[in-house]
Amino acid sequence: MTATTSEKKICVPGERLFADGEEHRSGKGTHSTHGFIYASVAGFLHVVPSPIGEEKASTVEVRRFEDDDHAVPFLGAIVTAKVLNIGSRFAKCSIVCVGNSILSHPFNAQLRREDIQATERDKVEVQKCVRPADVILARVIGLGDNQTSFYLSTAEEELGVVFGTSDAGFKLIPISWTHMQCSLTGDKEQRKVAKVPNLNLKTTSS
Amino acid sequence: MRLPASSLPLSHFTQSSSGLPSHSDRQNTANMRPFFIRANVLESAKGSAYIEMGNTKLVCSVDGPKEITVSSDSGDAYSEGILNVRVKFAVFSHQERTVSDADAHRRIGDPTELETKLAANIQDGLSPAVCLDRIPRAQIDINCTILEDQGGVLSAALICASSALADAGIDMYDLVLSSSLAVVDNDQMIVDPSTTCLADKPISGSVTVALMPSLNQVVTCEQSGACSPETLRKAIRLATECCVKLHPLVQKALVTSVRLRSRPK
Amino acid sequence: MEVHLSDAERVFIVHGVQEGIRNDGRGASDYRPIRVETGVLSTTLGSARVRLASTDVLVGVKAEIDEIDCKQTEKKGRIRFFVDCSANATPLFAGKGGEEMAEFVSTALTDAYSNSMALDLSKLVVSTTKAWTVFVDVVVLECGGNLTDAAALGAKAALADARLANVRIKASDSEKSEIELTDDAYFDSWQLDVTAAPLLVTVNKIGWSNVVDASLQEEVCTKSALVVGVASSPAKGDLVTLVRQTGRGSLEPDSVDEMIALGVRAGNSLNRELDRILVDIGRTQMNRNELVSAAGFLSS
Repeated sequence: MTATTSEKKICVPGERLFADGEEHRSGKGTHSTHGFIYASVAGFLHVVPSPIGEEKASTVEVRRFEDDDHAVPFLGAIVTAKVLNIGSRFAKCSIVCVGNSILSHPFNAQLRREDIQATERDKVEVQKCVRPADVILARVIGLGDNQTSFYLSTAEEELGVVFGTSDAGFKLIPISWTHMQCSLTGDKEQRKVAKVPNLNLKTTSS
Repeated sequence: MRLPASSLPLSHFTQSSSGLPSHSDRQNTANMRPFFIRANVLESAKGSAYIEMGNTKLVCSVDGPKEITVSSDSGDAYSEGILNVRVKFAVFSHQERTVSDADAHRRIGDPTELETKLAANIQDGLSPAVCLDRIPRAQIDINCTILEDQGGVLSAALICASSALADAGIDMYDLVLSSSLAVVDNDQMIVDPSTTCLADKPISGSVTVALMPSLNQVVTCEQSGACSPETLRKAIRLATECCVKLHPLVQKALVTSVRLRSRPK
Repeated sequence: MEVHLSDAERVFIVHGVQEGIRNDGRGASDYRPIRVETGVLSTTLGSARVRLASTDVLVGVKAEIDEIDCKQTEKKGRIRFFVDCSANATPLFAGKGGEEMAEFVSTALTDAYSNSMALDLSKLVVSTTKAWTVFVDVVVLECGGNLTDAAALGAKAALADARLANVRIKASDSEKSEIELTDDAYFDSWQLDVTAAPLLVTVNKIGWSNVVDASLQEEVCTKSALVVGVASSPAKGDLVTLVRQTGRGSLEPDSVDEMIALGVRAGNSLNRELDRILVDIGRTQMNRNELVSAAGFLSS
């Protein structure tokens, strides 16, 4: 427990914190009702100065732990998902992490064929982009219906397969934006590769 | 194994006295029973709480948000999250270990009529307090186990469940506080009665009120029995006033649990 | 139950109700046209059919002789309520759908009748160990909003219509006792006294106004509702026998008082009207010498 945490005020849900005026904006862990900002979780109160350009001076947040904690995938979130199985029109995935936080329970999601790539969306073949047991980075683009909870999209450069398993069962290393190579056998396989910054793209790693 | 139809417990023949101090001789009827609450009592649960109101003891655990597993009446896709409440009475929770005939044909493991009703009441009472629009397509499991039932179970369960939800870090508009009272025949009202306290008095009505203290919103208002509208209005007012008295105690329990959780292990 | 409203329609209804104008021109405490018929089923001891605009419920009352629960100090019979939402009411009720709704209505009825004033359950006792158990079964044929109130109206009317045969229990040598009935069980029978039986009134909060008897569209716009069980006994005047809050929303404490007051007013006028109808029906039936078969009642 750092010194700063022990000095910070602990709030409980429903505790009135500030007036929702020009000075404070309600952030994560708070809600704004009837012109006041109330805490909505039990945790430590953080008043964060807003970046320059925002109309309000500071953001009020209540957090239980120091890092950002997400409980459910939300619209627009970048998620880490595992591909469970693929079909001709979509790939069924299971969302494991949202942003930097690991979810306590995975959520089912679907990556539709037309959402895999940004260009030539109808000419895509699912099996040439993702395979079962791949780990992908994707964005949540919609809420689903009875069968599936969320719809995902990898139609951006930074999204796609991050970690893959080859047919032989070994780790795949990306060699271009559309191909990955098996680390042991050297076989090339087609995938929609994610442009993750600082990823080691050298093929000579063992 | 079903009990034979004509078995009777010993308490049917003896004067019922639990041996533990009871409040049957309370002079001041506006006093509530001794109250104890603690959050974060179960290691394995995401959030949990334990409550004692007099001799009524119950523990509640919360898990989620997770994928929706229960089917519901509404046909459209869930734009808000839902609460899935399950209540279980421990076999020794009541004075008599009996199976009522309403439940005689249920399978082992299915909830009894009383458990289903209590679960529905808790779900109705907590739904307004939780920010369900922030967790679309997700459900939160709330499991209540009643260890001893000596009156006021719905109130205790609502307070315990809302503390467990807060302990689990689920977004809530406010805590839920609740209290019950009984109206006895001469329009006298007893706040937070225990079963032993009411054993020999003719009850004309019982009222349970739950509210969110900071926002001053009533989330549950339950009455049964038969009373005049004027008596009912006074009873609701009195119960609302008593709810608010519990607020500092619940706040303190949650603050303690946040502090304990943030300590490095 | 399958009503989908756009945001604009919702706003239209809410603003209208707040101004005191409902879609069909009713006032806040007005009910839609109600039709009550009794004696519609031949297989039951008592029955009633209630039509509240497009909500249609059929209630049947049966009774069985059962052992008295020996743990109770006072000897009395029992009354049990069951609600079944049939798939005809709306496709959503097929299979396990409609269970929540059915559970809610049957619990509300059970709790509203669970006080000592509603029905004199000691009259159901036939011997030292046996008493009648009365089963009230509600079948929802069509759901057009405000199911709870219609079910309660049907239950009270069916209980008023029920005739229980006068029986005598003879102790016999074997374990089972013998039940004696007279030859003409229909005429040697008695009826329950339902003057103090409660009716349920659902008061819905739409916007900042309270309305009674919401239609399907108004129910979609309701965030919170209060079900009030109202009875009137000659000795004790108006009684409230049940209050249950339902819905995803919360209420101001003052609203709760207002809604209960509105529920009691509406419940009283409903009770008076129903009592008048039941007396009329009773008078017409006494003038008939035979049971009139209700043929083709679903077509009217």
